[in-house]
Amino acid sequence: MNAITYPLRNLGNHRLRSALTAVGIGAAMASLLALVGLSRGVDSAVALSMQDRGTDIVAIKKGSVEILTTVLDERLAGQLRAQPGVTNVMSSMGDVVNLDTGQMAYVAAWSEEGGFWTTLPITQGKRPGPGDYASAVLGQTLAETLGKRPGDRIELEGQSFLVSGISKQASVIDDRSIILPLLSLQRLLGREGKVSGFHIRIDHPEKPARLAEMRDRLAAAFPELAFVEAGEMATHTALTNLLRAMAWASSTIALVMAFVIVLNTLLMAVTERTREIGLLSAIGWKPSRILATIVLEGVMVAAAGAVVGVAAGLLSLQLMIHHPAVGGFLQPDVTPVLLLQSVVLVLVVGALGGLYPAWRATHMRPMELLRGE
Amino acid sequence: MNATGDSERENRTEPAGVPAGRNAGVEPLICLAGVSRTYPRGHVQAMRNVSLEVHRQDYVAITGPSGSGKSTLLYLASGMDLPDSGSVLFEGAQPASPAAWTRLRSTRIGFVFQTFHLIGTLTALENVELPMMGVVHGEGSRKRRAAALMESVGLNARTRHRVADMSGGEAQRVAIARALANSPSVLFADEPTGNLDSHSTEQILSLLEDLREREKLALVMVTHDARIAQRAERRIHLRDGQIMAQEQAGEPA
Repeated sequence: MNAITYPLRNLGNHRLRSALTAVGIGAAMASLLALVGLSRGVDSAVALSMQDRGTDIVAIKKGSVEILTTVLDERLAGQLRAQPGVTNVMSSMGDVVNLDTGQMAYVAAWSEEGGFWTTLPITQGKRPGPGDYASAVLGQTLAETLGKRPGDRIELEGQSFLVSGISKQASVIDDRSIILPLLSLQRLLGREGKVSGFHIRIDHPEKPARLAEMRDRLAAAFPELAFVEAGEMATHTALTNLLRAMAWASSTIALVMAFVIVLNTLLMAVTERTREIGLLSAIGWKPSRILATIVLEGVMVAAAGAVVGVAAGLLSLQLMIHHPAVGGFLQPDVTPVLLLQSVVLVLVVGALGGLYPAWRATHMRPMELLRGE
Repeated sequence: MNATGDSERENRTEPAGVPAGRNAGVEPLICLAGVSRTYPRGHVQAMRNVSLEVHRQDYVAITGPSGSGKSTLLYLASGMDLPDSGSVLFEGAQPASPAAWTRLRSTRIGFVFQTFHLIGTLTALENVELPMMGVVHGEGSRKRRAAALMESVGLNARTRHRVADMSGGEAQRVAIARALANSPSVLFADEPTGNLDSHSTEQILSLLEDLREREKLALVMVTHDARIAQRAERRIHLRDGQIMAQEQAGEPA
């Protein structure tokens, strides 16, 4: 018997209680993993979308809280294109529209200038031709979800569009979107001449200093615009910020619940074992050793909970992304670092949950404990 | 082995009012000087101005009716409870804190309880190993020492048995082996035969006396049984938390 096997034996003596505690902790950790993983997934999808477009800097309206609702004059594209160091500008507009099926879909509209349409990867059908404002391209996942093929029609806000092609996109957001020529969406939404933002390419974007320099120079030249580096775009989107805040808030609540579960379990265990703890003190166990044993029990039950949590979290994410209602719309981003962070967090919660019962047990005289007071 | 440390040595004091016995002039192992203890719950004055010395290899029986303070005396002498007034010295020094008493109990003081206080979910051997955790390094060394102690109390065939499945006499032997785990200088036994039949009582008493001789221990035993007390070299009679009489073997009370 040693410092590890003794607390393990204590947990093993109450298998059901220990198992239920581990399941409770596991549920908390699973929700943390799922929510944070999904929130990060959205961030990753935004970043991937930027990368696919070759965007270095995005120009949006200064002070806007949500890129989807920002409105800019599309003529600014020409002025931006004329700036030294700017190699390309694509005007874009995005919004969420209702489909005739009752579902909602993200619509991304792109200007004809800037080369978006020539680089859009088409897996079936073709791109809309110049001046074709009655056709749309569907992301592959959306097309599969809706059962649409090239030649089919799709109703957007009561207006019918021909599905001219299907595009396979790396970003889950793009792959589940409808892609229209800019003028089509402007007309559909009654926002002719307006855009949501500009995707800017610069020379030598691989140099971080150049990126920052260009951002600052553009900001000085266009005080009405905010210039955001593509990698930081997710943090400038109200929707993703809201998702992130919700994920962390829910995760914090889940962790507090896990803490209370561990606390309750170990308080019960310590109360039941008052005499045993008194005995350990009577035979010369230092308070620090007794404290470490009880805290270790908390950490061990939390470790078991972490195993349950990782398994349940990953499983629930898989179930979620394969669910027909959200299939393909969510792409969680669960990295080994996030897993490690979650496990460490849960272990800390386990240790903290054991600390108070341990402290209480070690601050009584052995005689009081032996008498079960 | 000396676990008291320098800080405790600095607290060396000369107790007043301790009756000098045949060991006058010899530093006692444990010395209680004017010790009083009142329990807050019910305001019970369990110990009133008690002074007492225990010397190396003493065999002391503490007798008295229920509620006379016998167990309280053992708890105070072993640092498991602290007095409201007076002092308790170990080898002439007053342990500076409850932690210092804990260190003493881990290496110098053994304790045997009436109700054994064994951990029922552990095997007999594991119960004996418990006090050695943090004192004896290496699981193998602890196991070997525990096995030797089990043999010394005549239970070498029962090491792997759970104590919950043992008889009272066997359980008390395990408790004695556990008390000896770190080779203490003094063994306190609180009614060690109180829950045993007469056959087991005789066996346990013989074992304790044997071990005292063999390990050169001081043995301080609480008992309410006058016949058991008669076996000790010194008998102390308590009533209402006070020493009413002290008697040396072969001397009248």
